[in-house]
Amino acid sequence: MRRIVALINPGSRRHTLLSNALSSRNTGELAAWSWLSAATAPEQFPFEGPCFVRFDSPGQDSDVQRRLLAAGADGDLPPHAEHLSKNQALELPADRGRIVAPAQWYAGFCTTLQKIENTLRPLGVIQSHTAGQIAALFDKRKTHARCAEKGIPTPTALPNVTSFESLVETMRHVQTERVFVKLAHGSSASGVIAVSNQNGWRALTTMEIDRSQKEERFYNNRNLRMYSRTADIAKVVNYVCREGVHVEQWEPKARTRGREFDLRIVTIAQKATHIVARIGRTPITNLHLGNQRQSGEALSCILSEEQLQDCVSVAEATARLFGECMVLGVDVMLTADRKRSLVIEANAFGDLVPDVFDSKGRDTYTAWVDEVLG
Amino acid sequence: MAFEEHEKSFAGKKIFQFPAEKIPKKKPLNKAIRLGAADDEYDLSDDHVPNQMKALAATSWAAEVDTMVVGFWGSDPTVPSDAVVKALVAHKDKLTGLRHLFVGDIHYEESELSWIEHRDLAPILSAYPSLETLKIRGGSGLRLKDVAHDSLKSLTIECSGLSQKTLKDVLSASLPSLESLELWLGNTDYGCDIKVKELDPLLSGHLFPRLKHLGLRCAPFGDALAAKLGNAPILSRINSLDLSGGTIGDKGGKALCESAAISALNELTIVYHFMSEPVSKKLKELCKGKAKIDEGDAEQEEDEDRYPDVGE
Repeated sequence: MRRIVALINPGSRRHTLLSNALSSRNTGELAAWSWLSAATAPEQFPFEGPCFVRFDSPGQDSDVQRRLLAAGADGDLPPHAEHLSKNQALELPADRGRIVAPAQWYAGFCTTLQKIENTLRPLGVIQSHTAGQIAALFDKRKTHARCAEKGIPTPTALPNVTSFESLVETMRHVQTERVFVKLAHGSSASGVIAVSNQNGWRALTTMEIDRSQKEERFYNNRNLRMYSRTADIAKVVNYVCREGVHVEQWEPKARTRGREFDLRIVTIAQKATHIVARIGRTPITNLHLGNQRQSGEALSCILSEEQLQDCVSVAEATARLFGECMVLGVDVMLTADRKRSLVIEANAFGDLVPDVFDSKGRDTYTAWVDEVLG
Repeated sequence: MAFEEHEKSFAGKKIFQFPAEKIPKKKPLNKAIRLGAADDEYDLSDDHVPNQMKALAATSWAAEVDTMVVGFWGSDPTVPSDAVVKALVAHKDKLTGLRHLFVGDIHYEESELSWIEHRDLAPILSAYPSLETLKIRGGSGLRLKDVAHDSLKSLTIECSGLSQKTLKDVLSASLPSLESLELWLGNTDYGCDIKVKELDPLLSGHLFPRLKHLGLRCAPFGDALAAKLGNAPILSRINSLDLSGGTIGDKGGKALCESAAISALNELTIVYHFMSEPVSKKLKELCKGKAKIDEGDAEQEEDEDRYPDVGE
């Protein structure tokens, strides 16, 4: 029997849920390889014997963040991206919610993932995800390009945007008044800006500009803000462009009772298992921003069986595209006319949707454990 | 600041939502007539309020309407209120009884306060020379250009960021009957580019000869404002002052305590502030129980809302 090991932040919610899932199946304790250890010494896998390593999110731990940033200090970064030296990275002061050097973080994350995989391969470990596909999933441009290549419907990307000025030009050129500007390496509504020029330039975003320090800083803030001064809009857009940007048409989403919604569809072994609708009063629908959710039978109040199947279909196609990832969290939207389903985002560790159960009453982690054991 | 629901009353009258069908044959007694999106009404067209106003103007009792509330007017929070202004102006000869008007009864699910969009609302004042109360919610884009109005008694602007331009408009308006002025100043993030010294013309006491109530709320420069107010001539002219929602702390609180005029006020309101208990207590004592000052909040709440990237 393979030992199930999670590459995870111990004490995190994911860790707790995964542990509970294992206990409920009497599979013993969850073995954990903490991200901090893995990022510090990726060549030292702490377990022996046949193992199954479940890759999970390194997010929300500032020590891990420091290590990953440090690992990216020598990385190949875009020309004007923020850069920290290894020491600056390791000594980064605690500053909750601050967006720091996302391109460097990504470079460090990818390097670390590769080193981890190089350690695990010769040991005959089975991995839940591969380093290469995680890396692609953490780059919205790559994810979008791969989906588009395989004919999976997505919002249309606007290419060659390098700054606010070039964004204005590109929008004029393709004749669109509303776009989403996204940090290529951000997730969970980090670095997402909804830009519109319907009634003057407006940007809706969770990015807070903090001007209280000497140098301006950006933070993820639960309170969505609307910037209407072009100088501010340019600031956030230019920052994101310097770190690596993905720009898409802002497609109006289908509505339920007047509010836009989309779906988070979790796939396990390429089959959709858990679905939750995220109903937002604003264009940025992520659950932790206080938006409503509906799952299970309540979904039938929001969309028809046919529409649901269509969404499931594109989610599963995406999961097959990233076939080396056992788990995926795919964000799918229905267009306002409800005629098309579009994949908005694919998340490598997108199965943290507690209180959502499959047809057998299992949460995502329990369903995953069953899949591994089965 | 988030308005969670529609106002239940305005100008002392309960609300009557103007219906799409079965329009009453007589004016609903003692009610404020409300136009705009009702509770749970979404996705209305940009013509919704103009259409409603046309229907209202066509009733036999249009001239009896003395109080009106206008709620959400657009399909989308970025739609400015021009159509509302145009409609009000277009029907001025029918709505001759209008005395109290609230434009912007909008809650946060319809639009965040900082997103509510206006243009120049001065035409409303020109069209309704007998208007007594004007309350506006939303500061973005708001202007009140070249206002000269003999009847207006009360002006309120609720917003999350008042611009210099809007403030100048208000301070240069001729409003000889104005008794109550309430301005929410707000936050630089939401468009407040006002420096405290720009309030000098108001504090000097030269403006608005009939002013009795002054609200300078959500002031980002709370302490500096309080310091200036302490010695400001306006303070001895008014009966009632409201400094709620701003950043006034002990520095400002102490300045107010030292003011000779503060204890002469009939009413001092400071709800939400950063003053410590001893200072609030002293201020309350000086005002001999006519002060409404709550416990305040000495802690910065902002950081609670920041979240790290989840790394999905």
